[in-house]
Amino acid sequence: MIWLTWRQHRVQAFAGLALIGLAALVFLPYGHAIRGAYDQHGVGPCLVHGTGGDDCQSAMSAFMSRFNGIANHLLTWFTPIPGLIGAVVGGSLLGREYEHGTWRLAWTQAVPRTRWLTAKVLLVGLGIVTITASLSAVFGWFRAPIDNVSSRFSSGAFDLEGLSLTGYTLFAFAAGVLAGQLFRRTVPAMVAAFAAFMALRLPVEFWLR
Amino acid sequence: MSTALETRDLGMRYGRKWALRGCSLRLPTGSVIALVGPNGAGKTTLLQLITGLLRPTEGTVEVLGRDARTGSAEALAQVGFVAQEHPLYRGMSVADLLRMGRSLNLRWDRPMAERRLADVGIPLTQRAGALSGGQQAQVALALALAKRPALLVLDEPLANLDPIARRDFMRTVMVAVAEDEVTVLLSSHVIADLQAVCDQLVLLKDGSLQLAGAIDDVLAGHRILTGPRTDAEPPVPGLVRATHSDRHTDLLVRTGTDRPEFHPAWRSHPVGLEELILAYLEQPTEIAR
Amino acid sequence: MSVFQFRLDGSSGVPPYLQLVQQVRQGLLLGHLRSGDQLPTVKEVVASLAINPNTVVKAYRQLEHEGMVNARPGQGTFITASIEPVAPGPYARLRHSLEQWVRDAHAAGLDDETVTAMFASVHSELRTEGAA
Repeated sequence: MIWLTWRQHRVQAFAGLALIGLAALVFLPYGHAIRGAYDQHGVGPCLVHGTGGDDCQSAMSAFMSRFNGIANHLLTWFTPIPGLIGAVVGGSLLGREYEHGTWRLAWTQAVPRTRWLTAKVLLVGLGIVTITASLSAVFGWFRAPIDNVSSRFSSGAFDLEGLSLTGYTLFAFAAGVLAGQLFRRTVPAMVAAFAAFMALRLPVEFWLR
Repeated sequence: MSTALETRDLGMRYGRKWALRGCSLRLPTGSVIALVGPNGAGKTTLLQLITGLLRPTEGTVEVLGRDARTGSAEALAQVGFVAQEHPLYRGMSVADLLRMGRSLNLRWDRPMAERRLADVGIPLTQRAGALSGGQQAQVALALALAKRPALLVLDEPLANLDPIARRDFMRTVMVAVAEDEVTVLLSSHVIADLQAVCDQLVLLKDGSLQLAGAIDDVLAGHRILTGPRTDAEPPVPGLVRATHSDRHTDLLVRTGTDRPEFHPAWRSHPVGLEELILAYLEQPTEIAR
Repeated sequence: MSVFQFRLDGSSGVPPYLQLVQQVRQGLLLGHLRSGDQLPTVKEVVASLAINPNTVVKAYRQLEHEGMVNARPGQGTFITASIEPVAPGPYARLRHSLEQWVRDAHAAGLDDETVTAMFASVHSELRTEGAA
C-alpha cells in the first residue's frame, strides 16, 4: 500500500514540496529584512525591559506600521491554502477512483477495502501533516518578530501558524474524502470540500475569536 | 465434479428495486460459464456480488466454499476480475501496474504476467493510457491472471473490442484455462462468440434466473416443433416461445432429458444455442417457469 | 508444426467439438491424415482457435471412442487410422444409391436448391441427434 499510495499521490506530494519552496522563496528574504529592522529599531530590548518608555513605544509602532500591514497582506494570500490542499488531495482520493472506474480494479485485489482506505487516509494524512507543518514553520518564523510585538491571536497569524494550518487542512481533506464517496466525481468533491472548509473558516474568522 | 461457485437465494436491492433476486446457482470447477442476458438483466450486479464489490441484500455466495460476502483478503485472492471497460490507472506504466498488483496481493506471478504481455507484444514501459483498447484489455487480463485466481470473472470483456482483439483476448483466456485450470465466468450480450468458448450457460432476465446448466444438456433438453399454423396457444407442456408465420408455427419446448412423443402433425428438430438464447430473451418473463 | 490444422466455423450451427471430430474424419477420408500422424496438442488447438480446452478434450475423447485416434499419455494423440479411405466397394454402392435418390427427386419435380436443402436438413438432424 505504501508504494501504491506514493505512486498515486506523488504528483501532489511534489506540488506540496514546490509550495514549501515557493513560500520559502517569498518569505525567507523578507523575513530577514524584518529581522534586520527589528534589531535596528531596538524592538527586542524594549520587549525585554518593558514597553513603558516613549522611545520604545515609538520604535515599536514604527516597526509595526512598517511591517505588520504588509506581512498580513502577504499571508492573506495563503489563507485559502489549507482548503485547497485538503480539497484537492481529499477529493481525488476516492473521487478519482469512482470517476475512472478504477475502484473495481483497486478493490478486487487481495486488500480488503476498509484496509485499503485506512492505509491511504493515514499515509496521505501523514504527508499532509508533514507539508503543512513545514509551511507553518516558514510562516511562523517569518512573523515571529511581529508576533513578539503583537500577539499570535491576531487574525492572519493564528490561521497559518502552529497547529491550525495542519488542522484546517486535515479537516478539508476529510471533507474531500467523504465528498468523493458521496459524489463519485473528482471536481464536485473538491468543490464541496472547499465549500465545507470555507463554511468552517469564515465563522472562525469573524465570530469565534 | 467439485463446485467453483455456489449462490443460494442471492438477492440485491437498490432502493426499492430488486436488481437480482432468488438466484441459486452451482457451477463446476474447470468450466467456462457464459452469463447471458439483455442490458439491465442483473449480470453486472451478480458479478460484483461474486467479486465482493457488492454485499448482497439477501442470500449467500461462495467461491470454492469460501464466503465472498466477507470481502476478506483470502476471499478476494481467489477471484480475478476484469471489470467492464477494463479500467486501469491510465497514468501508470504497465510495469507500475504489475508492481501495484504485487503490493496488493497474496500471490503474484509476475513472470507469467510478463510472458503473457510479451506474447501479445505489449512493452512494460508503455503508459497504460497510451495503449489501444485491445491492449488495455490484455493488460487488465494479465493483472487478473497474475493473482493465480481459482475463478476468473470477466464483465462484458468483448464489448468495445474489434474482432482481432476479441479473438486475441479469448485466446489468452482459453490458454489460461488449459494451463492453469482456472474456472471462467464471463458475461456477454454478444451471443455469437460464446459457443466455441463456453460449456455452461446462465441466463438472466429482469433480475431473475431463467436457465442454468451445461450447454450440451440445455440444448439436448429443448426441441423446436414445427407444424401448421395455430392461433390458439398450443397446449404443449414446457412451451418457451411460439412464433407464427403465415403457414406454420414454430414452438420452442423444454422437454427435459426424456424425449416425449409429439402429435404427428408437429415435426421436431434440435435447437441451436443462439436460437435458444434469443427465444428465452424474447419471451415475456411470466411464462419463464 | 503439426501436420494437421483445425478450423472453426462460428456460423455453421454445428457444435464446435463436432466440427473438430468431423475434420479429423474428413482428413482421414481424403487421405490428409494417415496412421501414426500426431494431432496437435490440446493447448496448440486452444491457442490457434481460441476455443475452450474442454471442447477439444471432448472431441479427442470422441475420436478415441470411435477408434480413430489413440492418446498416449505424455506424448500426444496419434491417428490409428482404423478408418481407411472409404473402400472401393462401399463407396461405389453409396454413390449409386445417392444418384438414384437424386434422379427420383428431380423426377418428382424438386429443383437443385430443394434437393440440397433436403439433404442438409436430414443430415444435420441425424448428426445432431447422434451427438445429443
